[in-house]
Amino acid sequence: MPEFSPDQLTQLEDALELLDGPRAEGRTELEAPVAARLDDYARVVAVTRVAWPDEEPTPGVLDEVLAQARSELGGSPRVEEAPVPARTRWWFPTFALVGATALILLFVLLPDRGDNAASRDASHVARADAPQSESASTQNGAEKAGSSVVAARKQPNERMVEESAGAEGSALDARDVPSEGETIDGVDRIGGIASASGSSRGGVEAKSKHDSAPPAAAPAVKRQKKVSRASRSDKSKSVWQQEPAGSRSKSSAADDVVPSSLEQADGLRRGGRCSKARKLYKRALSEATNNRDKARAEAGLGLCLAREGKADAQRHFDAALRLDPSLRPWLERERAELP
Amino acid sequence: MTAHDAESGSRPDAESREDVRLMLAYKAGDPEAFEQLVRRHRHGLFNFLLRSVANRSRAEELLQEVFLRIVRSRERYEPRAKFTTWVYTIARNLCVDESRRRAQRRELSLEAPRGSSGDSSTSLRQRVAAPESLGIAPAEIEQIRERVALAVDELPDEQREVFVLRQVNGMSFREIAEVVSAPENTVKSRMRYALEKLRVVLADMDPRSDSSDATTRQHA
Repeated sequence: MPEFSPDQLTQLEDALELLDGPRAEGRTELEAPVAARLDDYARVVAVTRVAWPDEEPTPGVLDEVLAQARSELGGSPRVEEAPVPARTRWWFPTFALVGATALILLFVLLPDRGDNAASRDASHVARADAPQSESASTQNGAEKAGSSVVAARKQPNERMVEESAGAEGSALDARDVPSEGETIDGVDRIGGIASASGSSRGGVEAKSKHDSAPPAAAPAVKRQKKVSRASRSDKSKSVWQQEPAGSRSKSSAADDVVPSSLEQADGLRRGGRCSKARKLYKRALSEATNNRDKARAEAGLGLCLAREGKADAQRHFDAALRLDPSLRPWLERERAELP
Repeated sequence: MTAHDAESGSRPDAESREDVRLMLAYKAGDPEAFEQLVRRHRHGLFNFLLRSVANRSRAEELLQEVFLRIVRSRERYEPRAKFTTWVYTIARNLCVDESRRRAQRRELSLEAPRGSSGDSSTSLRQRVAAPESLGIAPAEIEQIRERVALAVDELPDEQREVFVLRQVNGMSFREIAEVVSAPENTVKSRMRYALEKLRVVLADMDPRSDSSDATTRQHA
């Protein structure tokens, strides 16, 4: 067989593209030795095709991967179940509705109630001449006697409280039926405000309640302001809104910290510093929020023990694979690389 | 994908765009998109891995690992290259790691008895190298498969991966060059070297056998 010249070898390599096509296609331009060798290669390719029929992986071999793919999205591992995101998304319109309602009440009710509340405050703060007369006119005289300043400081709670108490309501009624968006503290204050002001029953009753309750009213007013400051900052949220956000940020922070701890631990372990690695694995195991990270931590602990020749290693491997069976390939690779 | 597709030079653009769309959809939170990607690529990836590592169970494990890596890369995914280039690069890297581990552990010892198939006292080399001496009909398909598997397994890694990507997955040399991160001409050279070695080893299976020496020119 003659040697191939460099040009012929280049021609042969360029002609490799033709191996899988019709024999005659493009080969007429090749030199005879090159064409002959190309035919030999074509027969090798044909033998390979006989020896290598297409095969399928075992059914179900990727089921765990698909489950992992779904869990990465935070969804249900099974397609047939109702989609979890819908359940999660249910919170948002609810909170949005609650927040919007609270805002509407704040902006709608505040100007109206400012008059009455301001006048009541003026009566409490002054503690002076004829608080009865002022309270009697609370429903009409919002602008009287410096009430505007107090009115400006008047908090949404109080307006909502009195609205919820209503003209016909009593203190007890207000306590039982807090308005939407009120915090727990606000609910507590509702009763106090209603009992102190007694504005719901009209002038005579208001007078009598004022007569009887000024000492309690003043602290109630101060408490209202404190509550209102807090409620103002959270006026767009309810108590229920705050917890999920906090928990989400906490879990997302943990999700970032734990994998980095695991990687750091892996590096220490591979470098032979198993004592430090074990500490990181244990910490990751306690902080992990998902099975995958827990499994990695367990596997890391097992690998450290295996590196030291201890029998407990298998227990950790078993725990890791129970938590996350898809970890097996990674674990086997790591075990194979143990010294 | 068949070898015939390789004549066109590349995977159809519409399929490539669909792959990218599905991956971006999965990145955005659609699990069905990932399942579609699995259905589209598991066959080609599995056969590539199977022919590269010559071990079915190991190929399935690596197949799982390929897709797990795709899952883990979901948030960082950017369609800078073709999706097939990306996933086959992952698969190829896993095969490289596997090859190194096997070399270290000597998992596939040609002189060691293979208890899982046939006579445990017969090494793989004895069983496949000279079928006539063992009284086994050379025409048996299983023998052919084993000989081809052995011949391909003995190829250097860089030649084997090019040969498998070309013959099993029907990739063009340009696509293979992207996967293995080598120039296209280098890829063609590796393919030629692989074919030359196989031509010699499998010469008796060729009706027009040619027992001449391999190429005489050394590429850089």
